Amino acid sequence: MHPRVYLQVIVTAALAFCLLPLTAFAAMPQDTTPGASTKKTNGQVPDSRFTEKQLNFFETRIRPVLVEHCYSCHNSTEQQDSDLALDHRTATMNGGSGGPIIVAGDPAASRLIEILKHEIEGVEMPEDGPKLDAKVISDFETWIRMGAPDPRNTPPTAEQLAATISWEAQRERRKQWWSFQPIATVPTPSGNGNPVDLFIRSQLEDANLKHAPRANPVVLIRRLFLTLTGLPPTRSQLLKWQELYEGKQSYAETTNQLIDSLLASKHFGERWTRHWLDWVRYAESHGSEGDPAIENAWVYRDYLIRALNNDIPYDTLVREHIAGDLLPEPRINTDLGINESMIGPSHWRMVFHGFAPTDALDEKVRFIDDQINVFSKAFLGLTISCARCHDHKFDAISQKDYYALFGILASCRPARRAIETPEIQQLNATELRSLKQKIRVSIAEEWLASLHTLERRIRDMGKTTGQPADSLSHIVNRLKTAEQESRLESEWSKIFSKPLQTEAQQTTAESGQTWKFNSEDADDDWYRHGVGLQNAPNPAGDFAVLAEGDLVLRAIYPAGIYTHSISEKHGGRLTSPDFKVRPNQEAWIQAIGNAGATTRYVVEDYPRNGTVYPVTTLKPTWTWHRFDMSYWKDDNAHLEIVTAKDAPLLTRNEGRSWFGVREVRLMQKGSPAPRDAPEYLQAILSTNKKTPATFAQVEVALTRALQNAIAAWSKGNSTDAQADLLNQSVQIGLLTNNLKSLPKAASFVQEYRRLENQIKILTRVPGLDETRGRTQPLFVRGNHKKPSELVSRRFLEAFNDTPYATSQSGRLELAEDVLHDDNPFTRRVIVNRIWHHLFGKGISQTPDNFGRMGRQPTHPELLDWLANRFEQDQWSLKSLIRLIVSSETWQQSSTPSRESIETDPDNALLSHANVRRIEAEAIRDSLLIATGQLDRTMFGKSVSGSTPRRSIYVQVIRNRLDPFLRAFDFPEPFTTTGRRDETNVPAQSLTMMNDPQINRYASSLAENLSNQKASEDTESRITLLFQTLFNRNPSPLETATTKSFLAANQQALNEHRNSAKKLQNTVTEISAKQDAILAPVRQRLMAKAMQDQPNAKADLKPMARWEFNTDLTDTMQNLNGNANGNASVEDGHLVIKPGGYVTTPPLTNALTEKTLEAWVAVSDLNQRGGGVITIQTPDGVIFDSIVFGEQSPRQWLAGSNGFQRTNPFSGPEEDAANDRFVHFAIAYHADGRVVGYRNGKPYGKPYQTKPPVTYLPGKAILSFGVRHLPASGNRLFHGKIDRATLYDRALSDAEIAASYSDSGAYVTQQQIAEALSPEQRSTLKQLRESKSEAQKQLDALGPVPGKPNERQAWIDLTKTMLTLKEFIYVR
Amino acid sequence: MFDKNPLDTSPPPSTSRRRLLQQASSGFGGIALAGLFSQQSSCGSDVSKTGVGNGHHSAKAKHVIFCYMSGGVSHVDSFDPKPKLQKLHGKSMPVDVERTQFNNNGSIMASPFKFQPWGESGLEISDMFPNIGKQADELAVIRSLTSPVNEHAQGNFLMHSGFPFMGHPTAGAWCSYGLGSANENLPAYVVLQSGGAVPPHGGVALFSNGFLPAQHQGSILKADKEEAIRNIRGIDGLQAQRRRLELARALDGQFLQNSADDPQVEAAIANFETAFRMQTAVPELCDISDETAETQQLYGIDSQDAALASYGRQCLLARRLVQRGVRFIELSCLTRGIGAGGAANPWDQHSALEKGHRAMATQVDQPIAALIQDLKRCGLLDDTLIVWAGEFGRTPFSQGSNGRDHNPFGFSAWLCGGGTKGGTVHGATDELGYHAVQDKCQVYDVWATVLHQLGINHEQLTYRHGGRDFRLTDVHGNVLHNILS
Repeated sequence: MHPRVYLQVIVTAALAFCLLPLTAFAAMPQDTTPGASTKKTNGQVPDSRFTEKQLNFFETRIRPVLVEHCYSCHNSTEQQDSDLALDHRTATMNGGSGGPIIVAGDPAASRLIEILKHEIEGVEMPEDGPKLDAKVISDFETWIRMGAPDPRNTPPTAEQLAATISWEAQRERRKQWWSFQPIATVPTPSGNGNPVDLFIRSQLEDANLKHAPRANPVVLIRRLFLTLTGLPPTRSQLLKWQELYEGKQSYAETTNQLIDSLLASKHFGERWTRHWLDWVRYAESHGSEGDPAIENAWVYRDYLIRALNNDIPYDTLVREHIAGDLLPEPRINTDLGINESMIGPSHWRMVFHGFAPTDALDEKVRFIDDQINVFSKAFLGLTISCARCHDHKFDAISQKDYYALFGILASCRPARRAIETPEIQQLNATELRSLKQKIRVSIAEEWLASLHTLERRIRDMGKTTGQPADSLSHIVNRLKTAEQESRLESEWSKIFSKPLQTEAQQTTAESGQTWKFNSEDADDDWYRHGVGLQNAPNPAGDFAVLAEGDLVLRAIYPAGIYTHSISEKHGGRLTSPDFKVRPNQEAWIQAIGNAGATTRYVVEDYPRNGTVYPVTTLKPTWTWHRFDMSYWKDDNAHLEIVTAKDAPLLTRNEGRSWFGVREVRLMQKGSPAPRDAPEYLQAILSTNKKTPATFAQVEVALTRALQNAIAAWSKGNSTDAQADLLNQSVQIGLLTNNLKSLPKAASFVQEYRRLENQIKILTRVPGLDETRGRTQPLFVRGNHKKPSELVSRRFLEAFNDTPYATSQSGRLELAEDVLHDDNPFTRRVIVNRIWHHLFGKGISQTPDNFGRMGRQPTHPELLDWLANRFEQDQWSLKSLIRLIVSSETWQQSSTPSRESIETDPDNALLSHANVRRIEAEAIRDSLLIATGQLDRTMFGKSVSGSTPRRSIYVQVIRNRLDPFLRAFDFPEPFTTTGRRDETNVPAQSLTMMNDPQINRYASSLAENLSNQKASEDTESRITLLFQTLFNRNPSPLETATTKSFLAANQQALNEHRNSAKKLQNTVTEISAKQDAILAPVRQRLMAKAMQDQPNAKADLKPMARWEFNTDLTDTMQNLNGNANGNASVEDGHLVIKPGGYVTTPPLTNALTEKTLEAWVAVSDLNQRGGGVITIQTPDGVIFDSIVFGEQSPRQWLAGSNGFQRTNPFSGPEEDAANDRFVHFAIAYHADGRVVGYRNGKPYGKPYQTKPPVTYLPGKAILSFGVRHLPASGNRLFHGKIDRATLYDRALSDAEIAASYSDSGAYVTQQQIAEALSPEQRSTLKQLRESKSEAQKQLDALGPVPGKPNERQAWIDLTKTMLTLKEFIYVR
Repeated sequence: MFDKNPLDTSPPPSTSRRRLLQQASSGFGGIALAGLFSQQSSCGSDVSKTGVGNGHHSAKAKHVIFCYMSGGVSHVDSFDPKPKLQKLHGKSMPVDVERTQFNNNGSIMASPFKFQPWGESGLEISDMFPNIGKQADELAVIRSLTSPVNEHAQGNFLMHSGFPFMGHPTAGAWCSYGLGSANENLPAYVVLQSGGAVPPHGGVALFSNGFLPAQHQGSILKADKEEAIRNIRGIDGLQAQRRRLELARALDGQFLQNSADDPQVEAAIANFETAFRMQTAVPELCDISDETAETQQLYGIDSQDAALASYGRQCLLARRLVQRGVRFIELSCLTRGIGAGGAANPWDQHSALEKGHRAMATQVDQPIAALIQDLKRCGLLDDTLIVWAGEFGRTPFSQGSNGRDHNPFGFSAWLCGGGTKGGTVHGATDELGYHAVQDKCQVYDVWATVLHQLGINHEQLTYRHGGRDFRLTDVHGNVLHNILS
């Protein structure tokens, strides 16, 4: 329909720009020199048949294309695909295996042209590339028409060809592409007004077009609000700004005022952060099987919101993203006490992780590739990832470039970093350290003073349980017994010779590598992160003070590395250098720890666990942990010991978590295991060389050893053995550890605890750890099993190929290169991104790709001008946005002129504004704001999409993305998404039409309308509705249309109601007739069944039983039910319709253990939270209930007040109870065990909880159809109950099975059918058919509206209005 | 420059066809809705909207049914007989053993299933699949499939999209993109679930359009739920909806004028009407009461085995979807919870392989065999290509005492119908069934073949994203001509 004439103009304009570089090829040294006609090359004589002008055409228009796109596969030296060479004239004219491709003078007959136009299937050239620009193909036509002038008389030599098609030559040619060019210094066009307008207008004028008039204020207000804050204006905001527009101020003044106010709004950051999150594929889980969370990913989201609201310069943010953890002067947020820069690197960790891959290196290559891909697209607009297997196919990016960046990232490890400022991290640390010294000295004094009673205490010491066999208490007792048996000396020798032997054994058996973390050998090469870890190992005798309780010391430790020397809130991550796993290698780690501290070996930096990626939780006693790594032979690995919140991925939520590690060994499998020698023995031995003859001498020896040990400890120069001896003595009570018995230390301990208590549990975010910078081998064809030459870490060779001179990863250097003046990408890319988000289309329409496969800018000069201006404005995003949105170009009306429709149908020249669908988040937020639900709380943990928080706060779980947002093109967090799709799929309409949540919104919108003052009459209410939803007044026609809908709809509702009533009556009448036939038959059969199986039920002795045969009678005692609302007995069942429920009088006995049981069918499997049978206090405050679909849809649950006795059974989803009765029972055992049963079998998992509630006589009732009283909302159940039973004990599995299979008392439909007479059957058949017909009609009518007609009509109206396109579009 | 009355939003002058139509129709509802309902297409109609890949060459098939065996079926117990395992039972592997995911490798384990030749072709299939065995002459078995990944989620992504991680369009999306839709009231790519079946490991991203436009994403249709497709059920009944739709049309029409007949807005309005029609089309599709008792029995819908009955319903719905022009249908196995085969990966028998595989096979054997028979007798098998595969096979040696670990180095899949040659075998594994050794192939070859049968050259079905042209077959793929008739 639309004429496309103008398209040509644009393409030509764009091409003129792109041809510049092609012309520039001529200036290069390779292949040939410019103006070949005037200069001899390769000894070739210019062909005299061709004019200089013709040959010049070849040199400038044809040769560069041949070189760039053809030579590598069609040359005379190496490769001649299809036997075709195109590097000299004769071969070119001869053609290849398919015959000639050029008929000089006749482009139409030349196959080359068809090939270039992709008209021959299977021979689309250039191979794997896009079709050449139409202008280039037309050059070839022109050239052939000229007779194919070509000065290349002889083939190039191998060297010449190599130089021409070498990577360096290609790279230099490709660097001529527009985006690789330096940002031009473009003068601001002359003229008044916003420079943006001047640029746009100049191109418009060239095309004889004009700007559209400015949008009328009401359109502009909505557009500005949605574009800048992602929220439409509220009605009061709308009216306020409208008033200002109508007042004295000029349009421009008011608009600028509005722009400023929106840029200052806290919602600005929320809006623009979401765009940014698209650029870095923000996610809160890693995907794949298990989909583990990226703990605290949201902190990064909040960081961006703060940064954008505070207009932190873009270059600062980019630097922080790349290397925020390494900056010498990080950005400190004093209000929050955090180092903001530390949060930037989190995006590196938002990668997808596979689940327990057997090829760990493959996984590492993949996740680093993910990092490179996102980083390069997001900040550079380059697809560097395309160069993983080979030099980039189209851009000046080599495969080495890829591995240079790869090396930078491979020199880092997945990590978690605390974001608090050093002051907060070190809070009270100095004071605590000096208090610790005081505690040590005063405790030592107390201990020394108590030594005079020590001998007696040793003598009286009983056996201490729970201590290992070689512990001090055991040894003392062994010696005591030995003395009684007169073998003290031999026992002593037995005990004291062993540790020395073990030591000797170990030294000889050792192989592989050993790290011993004692203070003498502090020069280990391990990496330490976290405030708990100091640079050197802690010396022997260091100790930990307990934060509370009667005891003072947690332990006294041998030399080692500890996180909790000051506080257990101080975490740490200790990792070894990388090593290559040797055949049959084992790792042994001697460690201690608690509260989720773990150790593991890490293969190729893979941060998840799995069968072949084991993780061991540390124990609070010293343990040698063994890891057999033979599976991972030849992979790179390192060892890791972490506190609970400091694991790179496998975090646990334990604020107080600590570890200690003494020694680590890498050994050959089969070597003897390292042994825990009881070291304290050495401390005893070293002060007592002589073997004691009596136990009294043992006492003396021990006392002497302890005295020495305490003295040494007090001075801070314990040996490991002395520390062990003290610790043993403390643990078994030989030395007191009780606060009350240590009066000298008490005040210090109390002060210590007070200060320790002030320490904050730090916030850890995903990040990277530096290791030593490594040089990455290039992988041949991207195959990680084929490493080849090493590539230094550096930036792209197109800009700077100097290797980074750093022993670290090089991220700091990379950040500087990305922001370097010579790098034209970073500024152009961001400026274009902002333009894209403001206009819906970038100046280049491929915001993530400025390479050859991307789209060239429609306004290249403007793009460069903006890039320069952006830098001058200190990289301020707000200034840039202000500049653009205050232009007339941005403020234009979206109505195109006739001329514009004809000449520029795609609006490339921006002669008017674009109509745009708002993004998924803005749609959801609009719904919330329009219906008065929006909760404007900012920041914090992510929430479910069912909460009324802004969409930026809705969780992004890779395997469970929010279905509403997904329906409206929320991107999968997989790669940079600079430009979202705007698709149009039925799922969107279905959501807006039928989603229960939206229906609720619609109802509350209608409700709000009727409550507002401004809505006394229908018309003003309609106006209010339009203002609320579309931010404008309705036109008279719209008001009339809407009014007539309301009237017609009320009428229709009335008819609906009447028809429904009639039909319902019919159904009821028929039911009664059916009942009249069926009830007697059922009763007869039931009586017989009871007779046949008289004992079937009696065995189970229920306390109460409701058969619901004809009424609500309890057949056991007097708990007869009372029906409330829509509950009645029909067809031998209790039928509960919306609003109905049944209650009983109070119980007369107390009830603790119990079983609830019901045969139940649900009317709708999607109903949520209704109770089937409940025992509860009469006010419903305490209850236990069989609940359907509350925590999870379609699951049965043992509901209780505040879920106090509720754990999910996690049974299968109910899929049958809608068309048949299922038996469900819950047994509440005395010990707190709760077991669910469905159809006689255990349902899901039983669980243990608090002991069952005792319901007191007179203080408990039963109810059916309501989770608990009061009866309202989702507590109500809809469905049928056939029977229900209450037992005063927890039935066993067997009893439940018996009860379920006890069909004696249950008459099946089948039995009834068989017992009917033929006449009865035929009558029933007729009745059934008429009932079914009536029911069908009833169903077709839909449910009878619960609300009065007028209100319902308004709800119908609001529902409709939410489905209107205007609600989700901005113009 | 702007209109003095800021609240006047009267439409700009326009002479569009739409405006003329609107002015011509006095009542806003009548004509529009008449149009809506007259456009419902009949079963099996062939009014396909042309997709981008249509017409590369003449098509043999128009529809694909993907029977995905999530968790990994043991090939040496089903479609790849290895008598050598019987001989070496209990011995250690005579060749190097590759890394396994659980690293709990036992000795060689003979198949507890008995193989026999079936049909005229004599194709050997074990007694795990007695009903499918009867259809052996329709099957083209590939015994040399391999995969580079050894875990479920990545394997699933690879089998579905050719890439072992999320973000890429899956085969169904590519087919939708390549062929377009043949029924405007139903999505072109449908994933059937029932009986609590869930997406395999990797989640709904396994049915993703990736970077293709969203209309190509798989729509999950719950075969046994009243709300078969998310939000397909209006809560107010069709009459009330119809009244609302009429109002919406009128008011949307005004907005369309105000936005200068923006084509996007126009398409969104049309889309709303499609959604409205889907509300009738989907329940009609799912209501199998018009199928004969014989047909229902054939599929096992009357079975006492609830999982079999449920999978049977999926198979029957697959046929009904084919009849309605849906291009790509994936079926989902239900869990039996045996030997580590959890909800998402029910075939994953790391222990109790025989018990688990027997139970899983019982679930799918009769229904899939019925689907083949039924398609054939309806004359639809020529048009419909069934693809049966899991993400890998299982090791010839045991895991623990009676399970098998994952084996991606050589395993079986089969194609049926859609112009494939029945009763044929492609490729072979070594005598232990450990590695593919003859005509080794990858999932790219399977999809290249499928696309070929759909009339699409797999190398030409491309979409530009992130700076390069992507394909379902990445840079790989050979059409397996020797299994085509």
